[in-house]
Amino acid sequence: MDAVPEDRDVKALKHSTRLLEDINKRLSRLLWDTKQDGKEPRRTLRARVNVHDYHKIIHLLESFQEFPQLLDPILVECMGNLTSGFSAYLLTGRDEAETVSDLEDRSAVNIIAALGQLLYVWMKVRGPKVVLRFLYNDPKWLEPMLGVFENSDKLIDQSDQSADVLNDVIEEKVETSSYSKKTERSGLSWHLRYVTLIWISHILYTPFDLITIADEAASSPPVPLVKVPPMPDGISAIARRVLTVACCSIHSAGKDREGASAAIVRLVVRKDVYHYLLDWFIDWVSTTVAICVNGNEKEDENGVVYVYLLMGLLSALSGIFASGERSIVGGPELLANVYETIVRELYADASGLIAQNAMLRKTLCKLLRNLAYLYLPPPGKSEPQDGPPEQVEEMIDQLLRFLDDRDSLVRYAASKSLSLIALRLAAADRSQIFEAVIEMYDTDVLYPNRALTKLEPKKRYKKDLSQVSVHLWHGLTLTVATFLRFHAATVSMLPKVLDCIVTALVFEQRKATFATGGNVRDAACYAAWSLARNYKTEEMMAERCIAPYPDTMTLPQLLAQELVNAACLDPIGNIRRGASAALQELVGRHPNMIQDGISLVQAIDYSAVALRSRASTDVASKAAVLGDACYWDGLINGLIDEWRGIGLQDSAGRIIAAKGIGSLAKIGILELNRRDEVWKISRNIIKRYGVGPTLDIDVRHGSWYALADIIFSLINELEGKEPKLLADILAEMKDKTGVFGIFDSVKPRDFVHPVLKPEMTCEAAAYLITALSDAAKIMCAQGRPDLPIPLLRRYLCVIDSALERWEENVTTVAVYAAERFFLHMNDRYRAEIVKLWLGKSRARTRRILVVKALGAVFRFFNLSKEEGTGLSMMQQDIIDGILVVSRSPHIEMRVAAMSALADGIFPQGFVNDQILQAVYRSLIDYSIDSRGDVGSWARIEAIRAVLSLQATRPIDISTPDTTQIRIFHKIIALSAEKLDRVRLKACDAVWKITAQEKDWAGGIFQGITQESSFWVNWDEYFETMVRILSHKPAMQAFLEGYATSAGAGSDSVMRSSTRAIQKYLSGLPAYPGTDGTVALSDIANCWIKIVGDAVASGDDRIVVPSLAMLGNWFESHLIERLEAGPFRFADIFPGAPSSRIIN
Amino acid sequence: MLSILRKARLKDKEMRILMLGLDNAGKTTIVKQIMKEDVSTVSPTLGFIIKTIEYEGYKLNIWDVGGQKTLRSYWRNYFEKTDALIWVVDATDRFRLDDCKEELHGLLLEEASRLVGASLLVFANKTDVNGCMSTEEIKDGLKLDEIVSHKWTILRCSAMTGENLGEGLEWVVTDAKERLFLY
Repeated sequence: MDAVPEDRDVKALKHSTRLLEDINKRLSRLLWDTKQDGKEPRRTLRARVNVHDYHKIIHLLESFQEFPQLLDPILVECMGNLTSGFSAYLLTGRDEAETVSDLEDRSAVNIIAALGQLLYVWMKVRGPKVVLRFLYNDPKWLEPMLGVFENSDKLIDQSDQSADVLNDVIEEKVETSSYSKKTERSGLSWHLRYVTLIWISHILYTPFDLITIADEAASSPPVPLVKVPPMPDGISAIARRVLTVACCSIHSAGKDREGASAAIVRLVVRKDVYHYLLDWFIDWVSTTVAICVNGNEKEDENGVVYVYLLMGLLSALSGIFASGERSIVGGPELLANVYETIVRELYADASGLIAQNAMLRKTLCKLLRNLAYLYLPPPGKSEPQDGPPEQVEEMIDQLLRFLDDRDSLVRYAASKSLSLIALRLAAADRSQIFEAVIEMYDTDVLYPNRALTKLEPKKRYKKDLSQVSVHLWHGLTLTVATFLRFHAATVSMLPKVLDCIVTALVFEQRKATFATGGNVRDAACYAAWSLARNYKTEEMMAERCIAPYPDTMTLPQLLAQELVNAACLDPIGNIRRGASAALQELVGRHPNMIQDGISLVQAIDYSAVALRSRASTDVASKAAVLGDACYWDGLINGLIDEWRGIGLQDSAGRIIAAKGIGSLAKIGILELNRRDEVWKISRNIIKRYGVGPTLDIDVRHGSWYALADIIFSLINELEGKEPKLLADILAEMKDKTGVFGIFDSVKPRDFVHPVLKPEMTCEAAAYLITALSDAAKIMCAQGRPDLPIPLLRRYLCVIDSALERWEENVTTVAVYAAERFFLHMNDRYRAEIVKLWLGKSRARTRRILVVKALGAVFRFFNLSKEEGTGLSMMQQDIIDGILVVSRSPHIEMRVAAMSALADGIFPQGFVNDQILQAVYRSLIDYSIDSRGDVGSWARIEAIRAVLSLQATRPIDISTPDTTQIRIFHKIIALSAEKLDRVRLKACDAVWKITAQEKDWAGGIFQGITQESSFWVNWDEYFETMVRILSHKPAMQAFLEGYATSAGAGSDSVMRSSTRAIQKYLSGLPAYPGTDGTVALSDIANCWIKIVGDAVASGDDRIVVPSLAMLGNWFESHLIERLEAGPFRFADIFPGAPSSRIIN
Repeated sequence: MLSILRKARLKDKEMRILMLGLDNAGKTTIVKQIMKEDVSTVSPTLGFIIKTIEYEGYKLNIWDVGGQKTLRSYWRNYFEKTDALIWVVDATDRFRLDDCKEELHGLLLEEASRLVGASLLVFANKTDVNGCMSTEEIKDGLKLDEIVSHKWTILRCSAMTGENLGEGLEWVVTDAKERLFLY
């Protein structure tokens, strides 16, 4: 849940200039064909454009989606290109569409389709309103534009697939589907239709009477699918044409519906048209609404889907009210008609159509707003004394209900509409709405029964929010934020408003697998920011906090404390940042009202809170000491909160929270002198996870981590410096919190029963025991009594249970706990435990941690100096035990044995041939089971073991015929094998082992460092590694490994390795010269030996890829070069007749 | 959430301006003078203060930051980034002109990525005092010509008399019109 580290907008701005130039250049090249005609270059519009270039431009443009303003410098030129291209196209008269010579041609498309999409993408990225300014508004273009629809068959051939090509749609031509295609789509993509319709709507702004532009009926008008009521007489032909064209798209599911509504809006509100069309249109809408809302049909017999039709019509209606002049659309009768026949029907929503579609509800929100405007007096004129009309109140009521919508889209729209309507109301009415909003916060909130219980004040006002609607709270908080922005709350309301914001700041609701409420908290940050920005200091200070907050606290201070908590502790990065921004605003706008405000803002800044781990530890610690530590209390309690900190659902978050508790507790004890409070908090932490039926295993995990981190942070701070003080504090903690006896109440089944998440319990318990035994040791060293034996035995039981686990999260913690606990025991106990573990490790189960623990405690049995340097009895036993495990049938156990060697035995500098044999066996572990190549785990772990050995006892790679050299050669083989993980690990090992060797470090690995591209670029990798073949002793091993890559690797690996080896081989002489360098014949003989051995042992793993590799060599004529000498090709298949390959 | 806020900011024509400079350069006095508040009582600013100035329909949120070193925290936040910088120089303070240069360049260098896209207005303040430095002198002293990462200008002004303050805001707003509120 960390925030994105790098700021994308900063990056975008940095690189934008280059990209913009690129777009600009490409665009004009895409559209225009420039010919040198005489002296003047002449531009002609291309008939078809290159798809590749087109996609490149679209891709570039879309990268600006989030930063549209950066496009402005090239806007003028690009729009000029596009509009002139579009108009040039419309002007070229054409009788019929260009027939495409090759239907399957997907490299070039019809220009008009491309222009439509380009304009659309510009509108999408930069916003339609901005792009509109660049479109021609000369009325002479109206007819050609209409022509796009009326003569569409002349623009784009029916069979032209341009639009599909542009959108990468590959459609099978199915005869049955072509029916709707032909009638509806008429070859035009929705992008083109949208753009053209928007353009038409733009032209319709023209002040001249439409009749003066043209008055001819269309020769072949398109027929809308929708049943359009007969148009009234007297309407001009051109208006009829616009309407017809728009009606063809008004029911579309695509974006062209919006274009159609825009065109209708502009047409209907025209001075020379509305007489005819306004009433007609409203009748149409109300008829449609009646059909949609009262019927159960989803579509009519022509296949017009009602939802989209309604959406189109309603947004047109809303547009008409928004942009029509009051004198035209504001008549009381008209409004009443609309309200009764349309809006009320929509409220009722008898068929549930509205309830099912979020976009419809959003459109409705907008319609209500525009309608409400007309019911209210125009801005600037005062409202009548008796408040807003009844209809407006109803609309506000409906909008308030939409705040609880399940779709955030609708909530945003409703909240926006509400606040905009409120802005038109008188101040008193506005506050009333605001009060209504605030009151809605109380819906479904459960309070404890205050009369009956004698709860402490904090609990008495505790709200139970489990039943409230997350959606409603989000909608409400958004509205509060926007209302605060224009100062809608009266000063006397502020305490209540603040209570809402503060509650929303910590809002969360748990569901079975996830938590909701992040959006509420995000909105709450915005609300807090608005409050701080738009209210004066005097206003904020005029009132005091209401219960449950202490009435001595000022409002800004209360808000500051909650914001500090949110900024440090919230699990979501953007909320932390939002809270930090709100805090800045609060401190900056209200100087000297917040305790240590300036330092607080500096501690909790934008970048500091980005990382969750940093926010809840470092940043929280810095904030905690400020302002007489008034923030400490909130922060540390926030970390053991119901939902934040150790109450979080994810274990990583709880562990981070525990770290935070540790550092805050340390500060509390050492700097703020609040020991007693820390002990009280610790007791709360222990109580926090509950017992019996209320036990919360997740929280217990967090709690134990937190307790352990309190101890650890104290130890880290004081150990070495003031051991006496440390021991005193720990002893006090022991007495006051009872933390040492914490496992007394834990049931054994908690560590084993699969339903009880034993791995989580084990992990946390092991961590806590590490802390406790460290603490006990420190106290012991200062002369305090050691822990009683039964307690230690109990701890040991816990560790033992943890070692029974196998999950990854337990591994490190549990093994470390075992190691630390060993420090606490005398030799007799130690020996006893090891014997117990050895017994367990031999059992035929997967007790991998026991094995690792054996390795970890190996060092405790080192002989003292007087006894010499050999192995003690116990150590011999441990090694024997590990060797037994290394032959276990379970791969996990074998891997664990290698880990034990790597982490426990080799660091002590001990090795013998038996152990080396075991390591060697692991290096050639190729076991496979249903999970795949599980042997690779053993190989990787064995490589790690070798490296660990190398650190204390460098591998001897010069003496031949030792296990060590065999191990080394095996690793070389692995450095060319097909699995990426293994190969890199092995190569890394080879590189490290040979770091001191002249042949290697100075030869093959020359110039390779940890950062070289060698490690990631397979071509480079194999070209370098293949040179190992020239190192004769390692040749066979390496070639054997190489075969698996070149013959059976993944595609890229196979390609790189094959290319590398062929290049290498072709550089070799066919037969050895006198200087003893490697020749092709050596490699071929080596190959024969490998395959011979492999066939003999029946090892398909090597034989098959080797043959494939040889095949490649033959294909590239490498082997032919051997014909000149004594090489016997028959040797290649020595065992062929007897081998299974033939079969 | 953020996109709503950005839209609202654009609609309201809001800008965030950081006002910086060495201590005692007169930053707070400038803000007070613009807001027509009493300029006779100004004490050193601790930390920062945010004020909103309405200018030609634009809402300029000015972050008046005290002349301290620990500034990083104010460069940007979740809701807004910095749109313009106003650097105030005490034109009577020849001794510290060099310090001032170091600070300014250090700031631009160190925070290049966070301040990217912000233009820089240098106010040579206290020019009502006799014997103050000339614009050229300050421009050279601050090595303004070396700044290429930001669009900048320098203006003489006086916080006490109010001279040129309006012109400064005018420049900031005009610049913003060209960059931020183009359409």
